[in-house]
Order: sequence, then C-alpha cells, then structure tokens
Amino acid sequence: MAGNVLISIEKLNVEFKKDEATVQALKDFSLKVFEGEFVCVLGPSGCGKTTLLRALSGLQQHSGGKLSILPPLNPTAIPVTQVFQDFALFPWRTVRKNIEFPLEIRGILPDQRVAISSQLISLVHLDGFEDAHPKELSGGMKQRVAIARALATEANVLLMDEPFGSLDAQTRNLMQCELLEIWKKTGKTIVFVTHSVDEAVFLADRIVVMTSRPGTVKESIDVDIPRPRDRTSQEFIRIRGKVLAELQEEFEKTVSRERFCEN
Amino acid sequence: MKGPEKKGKLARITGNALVSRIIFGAAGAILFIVFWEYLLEPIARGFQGNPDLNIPTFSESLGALFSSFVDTGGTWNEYLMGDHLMLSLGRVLGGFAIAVAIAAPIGLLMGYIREFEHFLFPINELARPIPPLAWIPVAVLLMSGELKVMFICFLGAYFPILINTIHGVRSIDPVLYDAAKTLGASRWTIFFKVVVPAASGSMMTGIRIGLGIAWMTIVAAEMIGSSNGVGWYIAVTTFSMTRYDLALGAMMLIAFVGYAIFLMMEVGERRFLKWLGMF
Repeated sequence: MAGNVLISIEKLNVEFKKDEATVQALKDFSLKVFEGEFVCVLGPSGCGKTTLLRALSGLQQHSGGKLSILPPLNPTAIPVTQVFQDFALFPWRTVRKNIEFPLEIRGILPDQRVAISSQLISLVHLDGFEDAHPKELSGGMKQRVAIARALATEANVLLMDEPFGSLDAQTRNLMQCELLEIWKKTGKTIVFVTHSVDEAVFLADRIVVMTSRPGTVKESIDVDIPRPRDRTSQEFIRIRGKVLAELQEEFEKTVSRERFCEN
Repeated sequence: MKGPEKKGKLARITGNALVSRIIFGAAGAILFIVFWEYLLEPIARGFQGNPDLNIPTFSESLGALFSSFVDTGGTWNEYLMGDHLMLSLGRVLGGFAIAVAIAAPIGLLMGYIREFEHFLFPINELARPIPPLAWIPVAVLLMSGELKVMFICFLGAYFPILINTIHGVRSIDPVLYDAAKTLGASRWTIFFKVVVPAASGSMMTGIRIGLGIAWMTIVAAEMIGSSNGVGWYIAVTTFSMTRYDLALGAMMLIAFVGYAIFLMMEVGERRFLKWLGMF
C-alpha cells in the first residue's frame, strides 16, 4: 500500500479493571494502517480485538503508548466510526431516521439529510424499506442500515467488530461481497475484527494475527489475491493455511492456560 | 404416536381467548352481583347477631348512584354527582399533570447522571414509604383550597412515574450509548436523542400506574381537604347522613371511572409505543 498512514498505533497499552483485578488487554501493540486499506484482525477469544477497536473509537481509554488518527478534511465529519455485531440500531427510528442520526448531529439541514440518506439507502440496497422500523428487518438488513448509518458520519475509518458474526452463513457471504462493493465505492479505510479465517482471507488486504492476552501483533500477513476472490483457489487455501497455522499456536496457548486455571 | 390432544368440552367452547374472557368474566361478575344482592345482608346479619342490620343491595346502590346525578340527596351541597365527578377529575388530573412534569425529567436525569441520582436518592427513598395520606399535615400547612387535594394526588402519581422512568433509563442497552458515541453524539445529544426516546416506553408505564394511584388517593384526600367531590360525598353520606346506599353508589362510580381511565391509558400507551415503532 502506497498511500498515507491513516492510523498509527505505537506501543499501545490498555488495561481495565475487572472484579477488582487489573487486566492488561493490550500490551505494546503497534500497527500502521494506510488510507483505503482493508485490515482484518484475527486472534484467539479474549485477546483484546474488541478492546483494540474500542481504543480506536475512543470508547476505551488507553494507559500508555500513542494512538493517532488523521482527522478528516470535512469539519463536520468525525475521524472514526464503528459498526457493532448486535447492529445497535435505534429501535424507535425508521431505517431513514437511523441513517440520518449522524447527519442531525452534524447539523445538516433536513432537505439535504433526505438527499444523503436516500443515496446511502440505495448504496446498501434497502430501497423501499425507508420507513420500516428495525424490528421489521432481517439480521442482514439491520446490518446494512448500521453500515449506511456509519457511512453518514463521513468518517475515514470504519471499525467493524464481528459485524457479520450473528448472521447465517449464506447472508454472511452475501454481506461480505456487498461490503467489498461499498468499500470500493467509498474508499473507506476498514479495520475489521472477525473470528473467521475464511472471512478474513476473503476480505482483507492484510490480516493482523494477534497473540493471546495481553494482545499484541503476532504476525501481519498480506493477502495479495486479486478480487473477486475464489474461496476454492490454490492461493486462497494457501494463505488460509498460513493464517490458521499462526492462529493455532495462540489457540494452544489459550487452551493450556485455561486448563491450568481449571486444575 | 399419540393422536391429536383431546380437549374437554369447556376448552372447546372457550378456545378463543376473547370468548373465554367474556364468558368467564360475565360469570364472575354475575356471581358477585348475586352474592351482594341476595346473600350479603343475611350473612352479615348472622355474623353480627343483629337481625335489623340493613346493608344496601347492589340494585339499591346502583339506584342511589343514578339518583345522585339528578338529586343532591340532602347533602347540604348544591352540587349533583356529575359536578362532584368533574371536580374530582379536575383535581386528579391537575395533581397528575404536575407529577408528570416533575417526575419525568427528574427520573430521566437521575437515570442518566450518576451524581444526580446519588444526590436525590436518600430524600426520595425516605419519602417514598410515606403513604400519600400521611402527607396531609404538610398539605394543610403549606397549601390551601384546591392545591391541598391536588398535592395528595400529585404524591400518589409522583413515585410510580419517577421509579419507572429511572428503570427505563437503566435498562437501555449499553450498546446504544456506544453506537451514539461512535456516531459523533455528545453527552447531551445522547440524552435527548437516545435516553429520552429509549426510556419513554417505561416512562409511559409509570404514567399509567401513576394516574391510577392518583385516582385512588382522591377519595381520602377529599375526605379531609375538601367540601365537594366524589371523595367528600362518600365521607358525608357515610359519617354525617349514614346513607350507605349513596356511599356505595359513589364507590361504584369511582370503580367505573377508574376502569375507564385504565382502559384509556392502556390504549394510549400502546398507540404511543406503536408510534415510536417499538411495539
């Protein structure tokens, strides 16, 4: 990737208190993400993937190290926004009103809000569902609303925390293709946390494998397969094997530690 | 394999929930009325050992209620029952409206700002167990006229609205706060655009319960602090005139109006939630 460094994380430390004990979630975590890059973050459960995203989005304070994100050119836009696994839609707002939430905050006038939200609704293929409430939508549709809503912030960075984790396999594959399409059209920088190696290899420019807690970067693997990617191609399987091998080591560490705790 | 489950005769007739509700509801009501009309007086006479005991029957009480709408019945008061009812309703709605205006914003803020909750918690929790009627000395000292009675109704409505509103804020899914923050919302934007709508369902439940309790407190409040209204009417017909038929008739009116209020509030609550898109 040739572009500018958009996110720069240097020796980031994050700890939080859990039941009186201090848990070190991230230790000396360093990573650079370039403008327009699609980075997937993989790692064993509890390794701090979610904490990493929360630190990036400002939901979690860090206790040490440096974290900087290039501010957007548009003064009303925010630098980062996030898409959650549970969609986190506002149930009392319609599809359109959910998407217009960030526009209202940015002080955009009603006429313009409608124009922008209509564009975003088309982008995520939800035409005809403008006035539906979240409870009337399927999981995949809810996540499309959440993505469109996040895009309405005009943040350069889109953080996604297992966004397709609660969808069925078929919807999940469809959403992956649509996300790539949206990414291509909008040029956003995406940091995508997932548990699925397959998903990571299908989506990412680069896969960051994290160690078990305290989380740090174990390995960064470039995925230079041209898109659209074929999940059954030799190259796909080779990279998937490589990522799995890296992960396996960390899984084993976690498992042995858990066994140790039980005894 | 077993065949389809066999249902009893009763279950087959009343398979429909609404039909069942009507049939059994009517049966229960009729049983109660028959008991009151024909059995209550003899049983009470037996218990008290007083064969001259006179208990107004259902039909006598209902008749007394109808008559009270056209005849003051010697209550030393120019008002008819319709006027008493309007006066009582006015006081209840007045006290209730003030309770909504105060308890809803305080509840929202107590749920949202921890320090504010800590600030008001002791005084609210200490005041809560005091029944509205025990506040009468305060009402008499501080207020006069209509305000005295309204104050008691206000107290009846205040706590259910407050408690339910706080609960509504507390049960907001934390991920909604995270979402709003990552969409660029400030603390006060989150309050108005997330907390208020998200808690409004629970707040409406509190408002419905609060209005019911305000209506229940009216009788006792008027007995002490008023010279008209349905509550005053019951007190006067009971203690001064010993016209128990008129008193029981007024009780029936309180029941009917209370139930009507309950139904209206329930429909209103459902409409509101539907309008919010949450039901």
